[in-house]
Amino acid sequence: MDIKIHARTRNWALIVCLLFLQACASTSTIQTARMQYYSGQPDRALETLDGVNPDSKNRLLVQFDKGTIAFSEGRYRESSRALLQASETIKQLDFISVSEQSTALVTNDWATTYRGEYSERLWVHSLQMMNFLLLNEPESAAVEARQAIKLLDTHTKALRKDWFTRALVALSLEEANQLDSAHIEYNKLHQDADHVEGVARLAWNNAKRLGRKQAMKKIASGRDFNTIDSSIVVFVDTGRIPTKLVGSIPIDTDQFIAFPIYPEYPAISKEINVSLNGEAIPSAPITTNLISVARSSLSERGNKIALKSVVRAGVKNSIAKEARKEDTLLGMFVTAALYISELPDTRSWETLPGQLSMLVIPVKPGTHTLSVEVGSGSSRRTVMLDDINVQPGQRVFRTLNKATAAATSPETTPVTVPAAAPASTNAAAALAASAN
Amino acid sequence: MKMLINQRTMRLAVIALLSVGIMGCAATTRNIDPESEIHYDANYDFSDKKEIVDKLVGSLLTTTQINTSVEKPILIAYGIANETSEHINTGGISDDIRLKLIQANKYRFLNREQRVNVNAETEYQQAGYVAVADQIKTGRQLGADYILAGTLRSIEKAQPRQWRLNKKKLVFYSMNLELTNLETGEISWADSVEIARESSQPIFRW
Repeated sequence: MDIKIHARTRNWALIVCLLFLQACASTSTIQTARMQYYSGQPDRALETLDGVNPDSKNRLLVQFDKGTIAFSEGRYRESSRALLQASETIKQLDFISVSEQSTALVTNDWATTYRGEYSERLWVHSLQMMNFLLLNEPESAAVEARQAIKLLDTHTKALRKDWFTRALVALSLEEANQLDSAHIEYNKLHQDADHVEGVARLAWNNAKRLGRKQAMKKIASGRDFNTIDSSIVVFVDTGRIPTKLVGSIPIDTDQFIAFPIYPEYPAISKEINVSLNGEAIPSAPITTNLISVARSSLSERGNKIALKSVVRAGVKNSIAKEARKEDTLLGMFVTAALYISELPDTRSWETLPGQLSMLVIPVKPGTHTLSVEVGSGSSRRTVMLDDINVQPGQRVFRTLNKATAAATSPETTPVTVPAAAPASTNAAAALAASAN
Repeated sequence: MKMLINQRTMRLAVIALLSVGIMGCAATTRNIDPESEIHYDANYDFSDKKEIVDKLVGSLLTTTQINTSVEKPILIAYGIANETSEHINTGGISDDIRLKLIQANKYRFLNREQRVNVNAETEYQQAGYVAVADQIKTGRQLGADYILAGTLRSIEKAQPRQWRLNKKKLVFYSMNLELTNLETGEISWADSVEIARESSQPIFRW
């Protein structure tokens, strides 16, 4: 009888260890790919990501990373395909898996399939909108914009300060000539971010295209705006989003609750200086510090994470007690295994930039050269965008990545976020071939 | 004896389980009647496209607002704008509408998508590579009487958050199609098709 119970307890311990190892398998491959990417080997990184089992619990992270890496290389179509898969994966995972949640109750959340934070789900659409606009497919960008609106409406509190994405949503709708829908989004954004000059300019211009004089007057509120007829829109991404860290609260001498947190430090905005055809001009960037939005998004899930951690602590405590009753040594082993397995789920989309900005630069029709300097303090880089041909009434989209940048000055020092992350010039990108 | 029966039973059980497992996992392929209506979820699919095309073509073929009895009107398709939140290739809708109208022999269509190729081919022929007698004559292309264009829209509504076992989603599709008279700018004909569908999926799965 004793042997039977001991075997069961031992099996539990083995299961705990196996599950722990299973979670490690695909994450280590993803970490390898990320290191390859940040050490300047994007193709090797993409190959490594291709090697991850497509049914892995981390498949969403693979699709996220493929999307950002391909974008940074200017391979917008490839990036958009990966992100379209990510969108599909998110839809497919929109249910609660009883088996995974049961396993997570005796191990940790690494046993569950990664579903992405609300903010990450939104940024899939942000990148897709950029990709489609860069691929000159405004109608598809507008489709992504409407998907983003759904998320923004559902998780308003967590995502409302993502000025960049919200402006991109309105801009995408405007580009697809859906001016009324764009007007609604510009209005909502302007109410929340009336201090952002770039937002007011875009909202005013769209109201003018619609002939809504009252709205124009309200948006301008005494300011003098000029009609933007032709323009160059530049997407600027800098730095790296910090990774999630481990937070924990002890609840007993041999037990604690662990949860993911984002490091608490003030996000330092990167300055952006623009020269058009050799002359410095005001840039009025519309910027989002991704860490702020990611933090709000994680805290919206905070209650759920806390509740689950408390329940898990209770379950683990019961298992350990039962094991100790049967055999002291095995009890200690099980307690140790359960203690070690109490790891918070710190998985996240780590190839995202730290800051996303949009510059809308009014220009006269013709060919232009833009110089964009990005950075803070002594850490700056300058990117030249040559031969940008703009037709009357046209909006031309550019990023600072390899595909569109003519030259990048040697960086004085790497562009970094305070987490001492290495430099990154990756932007994010987007999307895909139409379905059906 | 007892042991033997147990082993036999066990073997049979294993064989039965394996058979069920193999049959259950086997890949299958079957033809589906394109006329049948099949929906796996609430989103736009082939059956919706067929319904939209059939209804709008039927309307356009029976309308009295466009006179097709004396001379077949010449149309040019300007595509269907996708204002839904799905990546739908609306080119499939406009191609099918054009195909059915051509087959009904009541309308003529200009090929807008091939204009660049038509021009390139014409220029090639005029460049001296083709015998003069065999060259096509320029300035004889037809002019369109009407622009055919439309918009596909959708409204999606998810069930509010509450304690429940199933998640319901309501999707409403509306497809408008119109003919604009190129001479007068008037919308000479317009019609729409609406499709509303509710889907439900379990919140909990194994």
